[in-house]
Amino acid sequence: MDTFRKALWLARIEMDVSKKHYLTLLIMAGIYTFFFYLSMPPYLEENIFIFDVFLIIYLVTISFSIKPKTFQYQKMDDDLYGSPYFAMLNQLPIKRKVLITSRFILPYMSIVIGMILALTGTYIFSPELQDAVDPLQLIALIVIWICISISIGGLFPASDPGDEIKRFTFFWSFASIIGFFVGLYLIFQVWLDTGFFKWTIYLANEHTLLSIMISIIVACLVTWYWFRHSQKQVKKIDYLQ
Amino acid sequence: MTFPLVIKNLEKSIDDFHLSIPDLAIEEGTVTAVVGTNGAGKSTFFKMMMNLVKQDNGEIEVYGHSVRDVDDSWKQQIAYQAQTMIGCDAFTGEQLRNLMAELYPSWDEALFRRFSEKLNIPLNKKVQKLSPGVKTKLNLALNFGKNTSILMLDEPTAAMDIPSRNYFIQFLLELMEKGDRTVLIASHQADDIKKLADYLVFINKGRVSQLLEKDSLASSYRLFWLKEEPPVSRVPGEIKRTYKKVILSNQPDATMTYLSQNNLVIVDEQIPELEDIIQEILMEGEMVDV
Repeated sequence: MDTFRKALWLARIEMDVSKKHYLTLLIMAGIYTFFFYLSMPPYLEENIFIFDVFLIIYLVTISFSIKPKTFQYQKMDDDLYGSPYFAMLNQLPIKRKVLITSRFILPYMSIVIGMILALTGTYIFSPELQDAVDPLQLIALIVIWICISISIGGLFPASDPGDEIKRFTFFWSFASIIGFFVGLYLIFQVWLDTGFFKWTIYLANEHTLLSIMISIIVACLVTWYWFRHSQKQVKKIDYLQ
Repeated sequence: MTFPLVIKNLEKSIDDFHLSIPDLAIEEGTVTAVVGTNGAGKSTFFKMMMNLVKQDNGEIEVYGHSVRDVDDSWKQQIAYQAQTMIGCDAFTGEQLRNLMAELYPSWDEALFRRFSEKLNIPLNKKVQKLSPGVKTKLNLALNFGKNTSILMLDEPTAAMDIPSRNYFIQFLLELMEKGDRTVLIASHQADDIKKLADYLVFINKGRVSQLLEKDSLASSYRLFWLKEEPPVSRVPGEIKRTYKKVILSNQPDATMTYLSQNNLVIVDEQIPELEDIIQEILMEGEMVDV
């Protein structure tokens, strides 16, 4: 509890200096809501894949769009990429657990806000989505998408301690992203003949409680994995800058 | 005697660079200058003390606690100033002050205010808008404010103007008067070393010398002004000859004996400037093995 309290204090300091970046979150939520509202009727009818792609791009970008440049993942020296802000905090008497926990608070908060804004906004403006989901099931849908966002978006705070980038790291990262989208296409569009978002609507409608529980468990497990990954990186990396 | 910082057989390899420190104990109440050319390994040495760069072998202890321990409360006893102020651009000086004051129980507001007011540091401006010199001053103000028993300063005066540098030296000397503070400073400024240091440690290509007492080091060198040029190209102890008749020796007794045996008249004899000695050591790398 003390770890979380201190992490929250650190996150509040960070929030103080990045207030205006939260405006970016609101603008992004507005733009994407408009896009989701426009594309919802054809998506629900024809499973257009681009909708799923944009939804994933949105959930990924909201987790780091609230950070000023100095807090963002960037090149720090020849081989090391990481957050300079993390490197600065790492020099100070802050327990490692507190430091790492603090890195997750704001991205997760913006994920929760961003997802609630975009999905609720789309629901309000889109009669097609209202027909597909009841208000109670909408809560389940939002929880599922917050959990998906946390699982994927947790990569960003987990990367703050840094990574030693080798010759082919960028190539493999790029290949993994392509592989992820190809996999998504094959599983949902080809095999299940539906869209990813549409499939989560089905889960929210048909298995409301179960899907909420499983989403939360998965999000917790993945967050735990990201947390362990961060700890390992801090122990391993040489901060030469 | 208390030794707040103790290093035992430390080794670190990064690509083709190898840093090796056999044994080193820094005494409480002293200022130790870490001296070396660019790329010699001074910053790496400091970062290893802070566990920012991990050692391959050996041990570093801060007041008896290993820096590799899970409990890193030892960091509350060290104020470390890196060469560059990273990750602070979005903050103002006041915001950084709030952060440090919360993290260091020993925070001394009066020290912080006195230093920052004297040097006119604009605490309400964002760090990214400050010049390199003002950033350094702010960094120093924050590190003085931490009021820790150990200060590790990596080239703290590199970007500072002359009056600020002089004030920094005066301020640090004043802090040292209590006798309970231990300072490790890396500097290229001979004047800083001359005025501040009690001990010197040389780093040359990753090899680290023993602790050398500044005054003993200076007195172990001698500059001989001769009436005429010696007949040999190198007299015993000679490490440098200028104007053909001025000899710098690191074995004054051996040089004196040779000169008197050969009836060479000494016109003047001086202890050389510390800057000249440091230059010779860094150029020749000889003291590293002492």
